Amino acid sequence: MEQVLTRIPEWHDVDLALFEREIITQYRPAVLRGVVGHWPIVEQARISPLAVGKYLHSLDNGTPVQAIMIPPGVDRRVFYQADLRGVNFIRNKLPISAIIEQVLRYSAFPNPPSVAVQSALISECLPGFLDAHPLPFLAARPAPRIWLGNRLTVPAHIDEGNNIACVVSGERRFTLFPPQQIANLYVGPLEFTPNAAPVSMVDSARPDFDRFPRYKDALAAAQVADLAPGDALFIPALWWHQVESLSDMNILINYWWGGSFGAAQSPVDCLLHCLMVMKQLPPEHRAAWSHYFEHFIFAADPAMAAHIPADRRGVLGDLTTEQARAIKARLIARLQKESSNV
Amino acid sequence: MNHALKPIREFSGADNFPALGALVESGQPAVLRGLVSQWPATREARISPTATVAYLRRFDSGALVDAVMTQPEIEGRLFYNDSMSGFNFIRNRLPLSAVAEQVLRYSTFPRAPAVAAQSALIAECLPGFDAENRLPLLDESIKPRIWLGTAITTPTHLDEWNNFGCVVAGRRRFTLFPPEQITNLYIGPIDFAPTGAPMSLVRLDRPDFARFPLFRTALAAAVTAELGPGDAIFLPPLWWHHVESLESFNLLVNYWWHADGGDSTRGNSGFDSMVHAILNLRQLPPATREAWAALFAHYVFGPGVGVTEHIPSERHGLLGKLGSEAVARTRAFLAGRLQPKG
Repeated sequence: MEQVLTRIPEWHDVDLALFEREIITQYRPAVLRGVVGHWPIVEQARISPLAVGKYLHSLDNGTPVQAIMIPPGVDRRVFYQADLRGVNFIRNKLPISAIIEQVLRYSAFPNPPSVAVQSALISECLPGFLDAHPLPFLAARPAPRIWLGNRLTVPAHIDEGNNIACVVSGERRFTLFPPQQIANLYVGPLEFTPNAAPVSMVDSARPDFDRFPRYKDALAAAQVADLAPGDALFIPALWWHQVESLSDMNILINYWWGGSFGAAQSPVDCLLHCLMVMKQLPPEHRAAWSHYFEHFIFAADPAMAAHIPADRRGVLGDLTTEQARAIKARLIARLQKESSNV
Repeated sequence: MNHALKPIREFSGADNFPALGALVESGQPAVLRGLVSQWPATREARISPTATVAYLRRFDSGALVDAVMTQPEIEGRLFYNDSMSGFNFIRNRLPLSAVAEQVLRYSTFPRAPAVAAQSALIAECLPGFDAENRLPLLDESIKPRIWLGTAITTPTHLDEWNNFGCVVAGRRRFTLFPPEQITNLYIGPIDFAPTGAPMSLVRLDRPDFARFPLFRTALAAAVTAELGPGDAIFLPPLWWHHVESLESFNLLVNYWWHADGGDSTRGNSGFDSMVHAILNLRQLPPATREAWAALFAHYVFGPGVGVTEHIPSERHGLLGKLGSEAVARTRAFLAGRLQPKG
């Protein structure tokens, strides 16, 4: 890549006060250098891949976890097949020790398949890990997840929650793009995705600027960080992030929380709802709707409903569980009607 | 009213009427003077209200229509009651001729209640009327509706469809505000409104500027027109409109249709998708909402650059043109997602 990318700002000695006061409030990515350097697993990883593998093996309760495998080739992206008719990897369910063994074995291969466990809940597969690895600077206590594998790239995608990603083994490169870069990232289908989230179609290792000319603009807005064991990265909700694991044995522990992560309904649902209803409308009609979304949702000045008595604000006010349920029930009824009559 | 409002642009004489496509594309309201002056119904209306009712009775199927009725002191302004716990009118169901006779009878009262049938489907209550009083510029699949009543005011509200209103009898004043004036109109609850659609809480005839100071800005952007028998008005979707019927006997025929050509009774509701979005997005922190705004701008409201060009067309999914099957599938999916869990 000829372009020199902006580095993500770095913080040292991050504690709860600093994180809550200075970092999360900015809604900007932040590298937290060495913040989990004291973790036992990091100490093992500093010894060798085998040592950290053995350490996790000793904690494995044998519960199978989801793993993916990409056949050997030039493209180490977790991606689609070339014709977009399917994905380029296979899924498997194995105990995490079996994946660790596979990863260790593949480190001797010149051109191994890519293999990875992605976002497995640690409480399910490595419950003994939790007590020795607290995250000191986060008041919320989200359930940690483990990512373990050899070299591969997760293309730029978004998650609904905030994310703390702690590298404990191997080198990882994160390339982040602000939410507003969406139009320059050539994002693929919304419902048919390689791995739950829509992804950028650009092969960042070999960007085809003839096909994806605006990706240059995305790169100009990109921020990059290289993380080593003990480092963590804060990724704000909805920032696009591409993740390259670069070593023979890469392990990451991550935490998702906030935003709409884990909510019973997802904003993605209403995005799909709005797409279904509004995408076909002419531009001036959509422009009118965008004023209303701006007014009621995105700008959402707290005084916006001040002229309505508090108990009459309906969906514009603070809803009780009961009221929210009634509104949902009405939406369901209308979605289930053959023809909706307003 | 002591505010001189700007007039809605006008066309008169069949040779000068713009084509429907041009009207819709303009995104601007327009008055077409004399568009339906040759309708048999309009000719009867020129004779007398009694002649008009006799003409309507020829078609009356006896089907019950929704009628609203207010006490005399309400002066026909359909609104909330004082405590905003309900509305200031009652609803009744009776045949259209019965409503028409009531209207005729009330015209002899010094202080009469107000009564009106609003948006009754002509195919159901007056079959045959539509064949004799046809608007050739609209597709026949777009079903006309009848509005018949005493002097009634429907305060500033909006509909999500294209709207053609044809005055047959009486006079009607339309006062319109462009969509972006929403911030200055003090719109009431969006899921609890007198006539179904969100409504401004400001009285147009005597605005309380102390309570609603921004309404002055809305008035500066307002346009108005008074229509007589034979005149028609095109209302673009999502324009706010305040409609006063001014005489003791008023009859309007209107047509609502979706931008994609369908009748308003088919298809999806933008309001529902907006309520869904408010439910899911409004509680998010401002920075996260802003990120969602970028996603909505990209996928739903914006010019659509970079949305699908890089995706094979068979993989566009919700980003592409949706068939009725895809719509049905998506509606079922969304209804399922809205169901309470557990």
